[in-house]
Amino acid sequence: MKSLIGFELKKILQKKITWITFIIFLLFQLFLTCGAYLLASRYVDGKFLETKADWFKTDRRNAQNLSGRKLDNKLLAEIEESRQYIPDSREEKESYEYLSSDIYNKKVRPYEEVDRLVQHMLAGGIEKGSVYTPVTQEVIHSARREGAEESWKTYKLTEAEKEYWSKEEEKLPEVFTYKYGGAFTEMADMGGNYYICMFITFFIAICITGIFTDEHIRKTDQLVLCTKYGRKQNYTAKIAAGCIVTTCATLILWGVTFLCFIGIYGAGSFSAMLQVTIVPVYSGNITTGQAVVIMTLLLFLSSLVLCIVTMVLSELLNNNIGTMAIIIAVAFLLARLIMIPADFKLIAKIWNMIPINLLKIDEGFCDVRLWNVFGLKLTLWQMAFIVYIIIGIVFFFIGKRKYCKYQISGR
Amino acid sequence: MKLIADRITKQYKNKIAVDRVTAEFTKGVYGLLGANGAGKTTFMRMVCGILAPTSGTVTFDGIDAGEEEYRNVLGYLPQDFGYYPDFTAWDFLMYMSALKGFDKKSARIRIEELLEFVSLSDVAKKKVKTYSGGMKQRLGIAQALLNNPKILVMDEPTAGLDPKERVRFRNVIEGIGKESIVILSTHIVSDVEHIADYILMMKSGKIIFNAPREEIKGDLEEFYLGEFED
Repeated sequence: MKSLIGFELKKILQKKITWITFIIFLLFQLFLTCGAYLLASRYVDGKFLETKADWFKTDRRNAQNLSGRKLDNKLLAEIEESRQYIPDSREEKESYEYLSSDIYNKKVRPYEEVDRLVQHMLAGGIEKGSVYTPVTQEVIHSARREGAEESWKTYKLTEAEKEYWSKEEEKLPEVFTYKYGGAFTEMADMGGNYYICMFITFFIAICITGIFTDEHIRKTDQLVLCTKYGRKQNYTAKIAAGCIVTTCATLILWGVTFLCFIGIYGAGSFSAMLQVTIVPVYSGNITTGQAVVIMTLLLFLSSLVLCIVTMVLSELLNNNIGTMAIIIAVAFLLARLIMIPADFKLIAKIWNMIPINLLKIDEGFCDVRLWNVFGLKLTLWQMAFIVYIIIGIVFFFIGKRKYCKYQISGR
Repeated sequence: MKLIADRITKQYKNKIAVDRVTAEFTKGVYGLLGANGAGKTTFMRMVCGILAPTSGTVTFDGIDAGEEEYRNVLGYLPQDFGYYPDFTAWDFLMYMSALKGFDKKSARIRIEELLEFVSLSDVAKKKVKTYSGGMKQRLGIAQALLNNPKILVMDEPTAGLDPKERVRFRNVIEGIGKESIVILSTHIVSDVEHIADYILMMKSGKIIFNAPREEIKGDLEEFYLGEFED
């Protein structure tokens, strides 16, 4: 079996398209991850202010200085005080003189990142920030809760679901602690697992669809299928080879992205609460680091399952171009373009389980609609693990049946 | 050692490609003659287990053609087949050996023998996409012989071979036929004239003649043409 897998890997890796596709996506990911950091500079009023690298470093240093402090009235008062130095007019606020002044850099800027997060929490996704003045820890708590309940309404949750999330809300601290999320925040947000998922979907559609169909197109199938191990073992070897290539490609993209983020933003705190860093209205008791671990596991699992589904689909359709079109259209374009209204709850829940939707942290991952499985209430991402595994196994056996019974006719 | 095709039929919608063919094969070389479209390839595919009959069975010593055990004793050279263009001949034969269940050590020994036999030793490390049609055909023959098959099925095996290679190929097949069942399909009578122990003729999906070669008195080609006159 090892030997067969080796030859299948050789077939995939000998194709130029595999390398070209992978290198293009790797470059894209590198550009998205650190392009702005390495290439851009900050100009205001036509004057050079600082490089993006310096900008990032300063923000990171300021954020790290405040990391570990509670978002309590003391810190909020300091933030409020720093705001005193912000000019009222927008023009002045964005002028070169102000942004290069000591007042901005020593009094305002150190609190800017935390202030942004506080405003984000106050907005709670419903843009109510300006209503709450002065900002206190009690205001943040009630505004965030209000935002969460608003999102429950948007998702049209049942009473049982609301009760579940109310209990989860009780597990959250009254006063959040600000922790600098660093690379973990970036990995959980758009530029991390989400983009990797997008590129891997394309990679699978382009490079993995030919594993079975190439044999039929080249007419090598008749040689292979009449050998001792040409059916069952060879099918497993092909699936294994496709999965190995996909996993390696995902691992490299993920590793490069994470290392770049660590280089730019620093590792950050694993235990920074997700409500503070990215999704204030989410009611689950989860840290940004935990979210990254879960999303990464989902990324790898979904890549494997998509790889198996793609290979099996190409064998069922006996057409790699058609399969490529289906995968790109359904797993990427339609999934991103079509939003299912909350009224169609089941379809919407299923739709959000498509990897490209699920790995968007504020949409799929933090979708609060629950699945009821034998009395157990599961969140979307918890259910996704089960569904992905089932889909993978079902498709594996459908493909096996089809391949083992393949008939060489016509020609 | 007995290969039995028992009333096998292959029907595609309203066309019957092979019509209730029954034949028994024991050790020896069987020349399967027939015009293009007579059903030879369909028949051979069914014998190789890569095409299921609509009805009927193919068995070797009681083992069904669809089973792994059957494929273990089978060698097949299709009429029109492809290669992995970026594989070398060595890689290709190593791959086929893995599919046929060889361990690496015994595969290497067997492949060296076969490459020598098909005169491809010198170019064994070159990519198959650089090979001529004849070289590819010889490589195909080598892969069919890898596992010393008890059933060797060859569809138009001499296509692309030069006259010298044809003679050498015939001699080898004659030798294999002493220990195994060899079924050669061709529409070139001279390919089987001197080596076939039995002659089968197919027309419109049916076997119209099946007898030992010595029963055909005189020239085989004339007999063949006579059989196909309407």
